[in-house]
Amino acid sequence: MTDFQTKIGSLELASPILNASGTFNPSVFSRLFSLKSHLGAIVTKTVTPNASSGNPQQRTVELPGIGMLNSIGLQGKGIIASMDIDIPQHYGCHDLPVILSISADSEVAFQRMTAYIEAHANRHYLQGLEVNVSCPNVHAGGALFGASPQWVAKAVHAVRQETTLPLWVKLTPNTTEVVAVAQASVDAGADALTAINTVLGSHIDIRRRKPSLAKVSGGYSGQGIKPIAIHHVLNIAKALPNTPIIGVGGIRRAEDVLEFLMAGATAVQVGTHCFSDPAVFVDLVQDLEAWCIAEGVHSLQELVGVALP
Amino acid sequence: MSIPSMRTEALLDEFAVRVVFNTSSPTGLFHLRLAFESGRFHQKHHHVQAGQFLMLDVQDANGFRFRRPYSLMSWNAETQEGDIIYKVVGEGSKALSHWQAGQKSVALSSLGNAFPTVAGQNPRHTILLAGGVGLAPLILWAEEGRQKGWQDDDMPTLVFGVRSQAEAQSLLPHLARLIPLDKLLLCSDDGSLGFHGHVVACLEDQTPEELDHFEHAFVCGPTPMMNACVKTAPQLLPNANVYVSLENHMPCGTRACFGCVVGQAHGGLPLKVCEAGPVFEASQLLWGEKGLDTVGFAGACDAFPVFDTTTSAEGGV
Repeated sequence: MTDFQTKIGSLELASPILNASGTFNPSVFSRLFSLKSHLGAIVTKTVTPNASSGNPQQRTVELPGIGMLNSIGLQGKGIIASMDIDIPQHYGCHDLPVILSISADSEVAFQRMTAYIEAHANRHYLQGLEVNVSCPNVHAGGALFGASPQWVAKAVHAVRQETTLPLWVKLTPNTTEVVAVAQASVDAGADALTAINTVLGSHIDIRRRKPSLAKVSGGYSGQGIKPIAIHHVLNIAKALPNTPIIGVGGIRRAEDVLEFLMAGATAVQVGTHCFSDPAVFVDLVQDLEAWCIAEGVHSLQELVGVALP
Repeated sequence: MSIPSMRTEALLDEFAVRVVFNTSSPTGLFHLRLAFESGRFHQKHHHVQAGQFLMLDVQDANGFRFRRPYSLMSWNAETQEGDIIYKVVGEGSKALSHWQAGQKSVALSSLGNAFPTVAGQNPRHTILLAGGVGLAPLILWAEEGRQKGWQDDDMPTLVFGVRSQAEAQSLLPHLARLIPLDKLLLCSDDGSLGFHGHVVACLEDQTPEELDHFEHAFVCGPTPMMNACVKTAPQLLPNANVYVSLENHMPCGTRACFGCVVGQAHGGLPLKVCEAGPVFEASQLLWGEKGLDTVGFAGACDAFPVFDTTTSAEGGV
């Protein structure tokens, strides 16, 4: 039996395999297989301070062979209704740690939302926050929080000062300063870094002669972004050797998980592939186990960072 | 008139499926028969109710594709075989059209809600309005009725619109087995089969006496056809509750992605078709000029508590 346990800061997880935010419905997936036996924690869909109807249709585009584009636009009920209803009913009932993904459009909004979470969280299952900084900062002309080390630092600081919960920052690749943003996040109090969020992309519908997405551009995810994600994980692991990294981007097979671990990730998230194969978690666990037995690996953590140059 | 209730969702599993046959008609309408082998996680047998859908894995050597939502047109619980009709409209159905007998894949099933029962009422007061491959879930509903013992007199009326006779040819024997000929109204865009015109024009051709008794209308077909049915129903089917079965672009089918949403007529956040549907009361949805309104739902958040993010004052909300 291979040891799957991992540690992300103070948070101990039974498995390094998690889902990526916004790609996983625990209530439906748990009707197929036991979440507790196949995941280390559940990451929620990103919650915003207020209800949002999201973007107009068309919101998604399939990119055959490589992944997809999305511009869902964080549709959701807002933090109050989510904490009251969705989080306990859909996420908090699987005997797994829940990581609440949060986003906001200003530092003040981040701060107030975190204070609300701190006051209302059920600590029995809510065991961490993942800060989604791939959202426009209203005080920066709508540019992404995550594009600038200074803005990220302010957002992370605003969250950190309101909570003692473990804090992860989900980094965007849509900046030339990924490592600087990673460093700024850690300096502002982040316990771990999730790398990477979706890559900006667009697609033209040649039949209509128009962009396929109503919002023109969206986030590119799926197997085509894996090399980009691995690149960033390697760079961050090298620059910040003491900060746990949760690798995400294009994982669909056990070999992909191994790549991320060897690049320096202590855990991984599976996103887009959940859409085309909800049972992917069952196959990942089986195939990782088989690989480790064949290779004489007793603990997955033996592999973390072994490929770092 | 009581509003019939939607039936509850059947159990969910991932089924191994095998192609029994996959034939095309001269007009490009494909007829696929799948044998459902055992479920991967729980179930030996597959169950489905008319209106529900499955997510069929159509990935090939080219790698990633979303699964594709399909409704069964026919289901044989004994042989565990179900039929799908489809047209090649995109990458997924194109991949599907290359499948040969014996090909294996997987399908997540059954998902979504079903057409309402007409408990305590006679299904002969229900009219089915089908356009093209939208026929599938409606004709399964009629098939379920036959299995429950509905006689010719009990059967619903079916209006089935196609482009041309060739498109419907292979389906006619199946339809004729289920729906008595006096309740079967066929129409075609080119006039080669039945009434010359679309489904709504065919309804307009009937007398009010022939239509006034309908208490329920179930509609499934291309968006412009459903839109026309919904818009004209108050005049043509004045006593009918209208239900639509939507065929939205659906990336996951598992309530995870928020890619298939539709706006609500009376406000509130957009609804996931895979969760709240695919069968909806037509009046529940936000209809635009040409079909479902895809932009009008922006800002429909009034039902939720407001969280103050404008001040940095300490304390609650």
